[in-house]
Amino acid sequence: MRIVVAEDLFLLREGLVRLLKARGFEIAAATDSAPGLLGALLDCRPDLAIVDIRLPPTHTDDGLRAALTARERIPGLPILLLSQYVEQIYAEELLADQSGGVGYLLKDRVFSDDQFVDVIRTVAAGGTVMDPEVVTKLLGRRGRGDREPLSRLTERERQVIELMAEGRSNSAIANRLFISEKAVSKHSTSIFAKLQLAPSDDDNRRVLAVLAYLMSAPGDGRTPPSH
Amino acid sequence: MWPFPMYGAAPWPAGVLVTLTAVCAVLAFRAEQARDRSGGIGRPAGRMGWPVVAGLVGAAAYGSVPALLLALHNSTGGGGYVVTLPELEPGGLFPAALLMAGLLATVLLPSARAPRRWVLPAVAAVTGELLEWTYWLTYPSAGRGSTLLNVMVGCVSVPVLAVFACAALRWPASERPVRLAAADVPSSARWALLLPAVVVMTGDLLGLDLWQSASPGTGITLAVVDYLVGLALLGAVVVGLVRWPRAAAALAALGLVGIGVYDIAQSGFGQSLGVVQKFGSPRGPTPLLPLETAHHASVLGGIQGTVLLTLGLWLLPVTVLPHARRMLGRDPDPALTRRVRELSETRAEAVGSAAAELRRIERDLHDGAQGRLVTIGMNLRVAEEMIHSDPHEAAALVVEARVASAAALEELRGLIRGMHPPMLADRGLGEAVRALALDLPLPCGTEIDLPERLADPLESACYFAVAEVVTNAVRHASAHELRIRMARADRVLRIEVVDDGVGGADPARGTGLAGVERRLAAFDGVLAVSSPPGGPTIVAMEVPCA
Repeated sequence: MRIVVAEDLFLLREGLVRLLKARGFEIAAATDSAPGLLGALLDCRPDLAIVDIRLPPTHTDDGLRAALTARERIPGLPILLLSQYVEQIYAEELLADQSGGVGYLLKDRVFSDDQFVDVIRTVAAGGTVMDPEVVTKLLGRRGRGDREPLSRLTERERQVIELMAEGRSNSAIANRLFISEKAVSKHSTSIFAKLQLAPSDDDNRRVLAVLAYLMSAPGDGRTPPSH
Repeated sequence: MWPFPMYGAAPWPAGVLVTLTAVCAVLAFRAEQARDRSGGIGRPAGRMGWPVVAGLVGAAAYGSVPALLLALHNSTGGGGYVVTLPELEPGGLFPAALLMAGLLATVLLPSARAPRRWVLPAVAAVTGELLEWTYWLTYPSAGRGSTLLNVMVGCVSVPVLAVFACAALRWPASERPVRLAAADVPSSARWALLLPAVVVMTGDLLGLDLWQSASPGTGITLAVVDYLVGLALLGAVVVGLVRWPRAAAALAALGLVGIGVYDIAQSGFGQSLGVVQKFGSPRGPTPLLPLETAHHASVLGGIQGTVLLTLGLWLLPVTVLPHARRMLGRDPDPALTRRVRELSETRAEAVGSAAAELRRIERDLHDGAQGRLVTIGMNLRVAEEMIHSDPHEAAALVVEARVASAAALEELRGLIRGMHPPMLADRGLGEAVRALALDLPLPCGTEIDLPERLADPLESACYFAVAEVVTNAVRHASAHELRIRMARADRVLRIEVVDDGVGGADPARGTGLAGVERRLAAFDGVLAVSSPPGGPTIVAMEVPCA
C-alpha cells in the first residue's frame, strides 16, 4: 500500500515513516507543507494520505484544505487526518461528501500502532474512522434534549453506537464489549430502529449514517461552514 | 424685583417664595450630602451641585431683602409703592422659576429613571407660567401690564406645558438603568442653574423676555408675536444647551458675571464708591420714585448684582477657567486626562492578568506535563536497565511510560486550549465560537456574520469573553438553550449571548462578568447585561474594531 505522509515536525514525520515502513507500507512521499502535499497527492495518487491538519505555510488548517482539494480532484482519495486536537467542525467538513475513505484521529493514537495500522487499512479500504473524542462530543451534542431519540437508547446501545461511530466493525465491537457478534448486530438493529435509520449491512454505510445522524442537530440554527 | 415686582402689597408672596427657595436649598443640600456619602465625591462634575445649593441659599437671602424692606416701609408708613425696577431685574420670575423647578425635579425625583433631557426646561416652564399666572391673579389691580391676553396665554400654556412635562416624565429617554440621583444630579443641577442664566442673558441682549408682560396698549398681534418670539428664544436656548452644554455653561457663568457687574454699576452702588454714575434704563425711563425709595431700589439693585456676580464667580472655576487654562496650555484636556487614566488602568489590568496567566501556565506545566515527563524519563531509564535482566517488568514500565506520555499530551492540549484555542488560530473568531457552541452540553444556536478576520489580540479577547459568558450561562442560569449572535457593523463588533435561564446575573456580583468587562475594557469594549429575575439573560458586548 502506497502512502503519502504530510507532517511538518521532522521527528514525528520520520517516526511515522519508520513505523509505516516497519509495518510493510510503502511511503510514496513524505512532505512537510500543504503545497507539497497537494503536489504529492496529485502526482503519486497514493492509496492513502496521512495528513497533519496544521501545516505550513500559514500553520493553520492548510493540511485539511489541501487534503480536501485533492479529494475534490481525485474523488474517494482516502485521507487520514492527524491532529493534536479534535474539532467537530473539521470532522463535519471531512465527512461532508458522504463517500467514506476518511479518518480523523488524535496524534496520540499513533502510539498504539496495532490499532493505528487497523485504522490505516480501514480508511484505505474506503471505511470511515472517527476519533473516540469526536464521537463523544457528537453524542454529547445530540444527547442534550430530553425528547431526543438518542436518550431512548440503553446504556449498552450507547456503547455500541459510540464504537460504531468510531468506525469499528461488528467483530471489533464484539471484542471490545466482550459480547457476541450476534448480540452486537441485535443491538445495532435496535439502534437503527430507534433512530429511524435505514438498516445497512455495509459497515461503512452504517458508520456514515450514524455520523450523519449525530451531526444533523435539528433546530440548531447553525450557519453552514464557510469553506 | 425678585421674584415679583412689588407694588405696595402684602409681603407674603415674596415670603412664601423665599421659604420655598430655602426648602429647596435644604433639600438640595441633603441630596448633595447623600451623594457624597455614596461615594460620588471628587469628580469635577460632582462639585457642580454645591454652587447650586449656595446659589439657592443666596437667592433665598436675596429674595428676603425686598420682603424685609417692604415690611420695613409698611411699618414706617412709607406709603405703599415700595420698589420696582424692571430694568434691574435679570429676568426675575423666570430664573427663579427655573431654579426652583430644576432643583425640585432633581431633588424630588432621585430614583426616577433618567428622564428626557428636556424634562427640566418643561417643568421649569410650567412653574414659570404658573407663577406668572398666580401673579396676575393675585395682583389684578396692581398689574399695570395685566391684560386679558396675559391671563388667556397663561390659561392655555400652563396645561399644554404641563402635558409636555408629564409626557417627559412618563416616557424615560431610555431603558438604561441610570438613576437621576446617581448619574444625572450634577447635570440636572447645572441645568437648573445655567438654563435661566442663559435664557435671561439672551433675553436681555435681544430686549425680549418671555415672562415680561406686554405693555398695555401694545396690541394683541404684537403681544402674541412677543410671546411667540420669547417661546422660540426659549426653545433655541434649550436646544443650544442640549447640543453644547459645556459652551452654554461657560457662557452662562460669564453672563452672570457680566449682568452682576452691570447691575452693580447701574444701581448706583458705584456712585457711593465714586466710580460709576447711574445709567439710564434701556427699557425706558426709570419710574419716578420718591428719593428714599429710589435709594433703597438702587441698594437692592446693587445687592442683586452682587449676588449674581458672586454666583458667576463661583461658577467660573468649574466652567470657564478650565477651558481657559487648557487653551493657555496650563491644564491638559480633561478628556485626554480621563483617557490616559483609563488606558493606564486597563494597561495595568492587562499586564497584571497576562502575568497571572503566565504564572498559572507555569504552575500547570510544572505540576502536570513536566512532572509526567520526569516520570516517563525515570521509567524508561529503569526499563533500560531491566531490559535484559527482567524484560517482562521492563515492558510493563515502557507501557506505563506510554500511558503517562498520553496523559501529558492530554494535559498540554487542555492547557493550549485555555491559552489560545487552535480553532481560533486556524479559522478565526467566528468559527472558534461556532466550535465552542458545538462543544457545549446545551443546544446553542449561532448567528455569526464575520466575513473578515480581526486582529489576533481582539479575537482572543472576544473569544474568551464569549466563552466566559457562555460558561456562566451553562453553570448558573439553568438554561435550556443558548443563542450567540455576532456581527460586525460600522467598525463595531457586536456580540450577544442570550439564554433562557433563570436570570438575575449581575456583573457587580461574582467575578465572571466583571472579568469579561475588564478584558473588553482593554479594547475599549463595553458589556451590558439585562437579566431580570426569571430571565431571559441577555449579555451584549460591543468592541470597536478598526
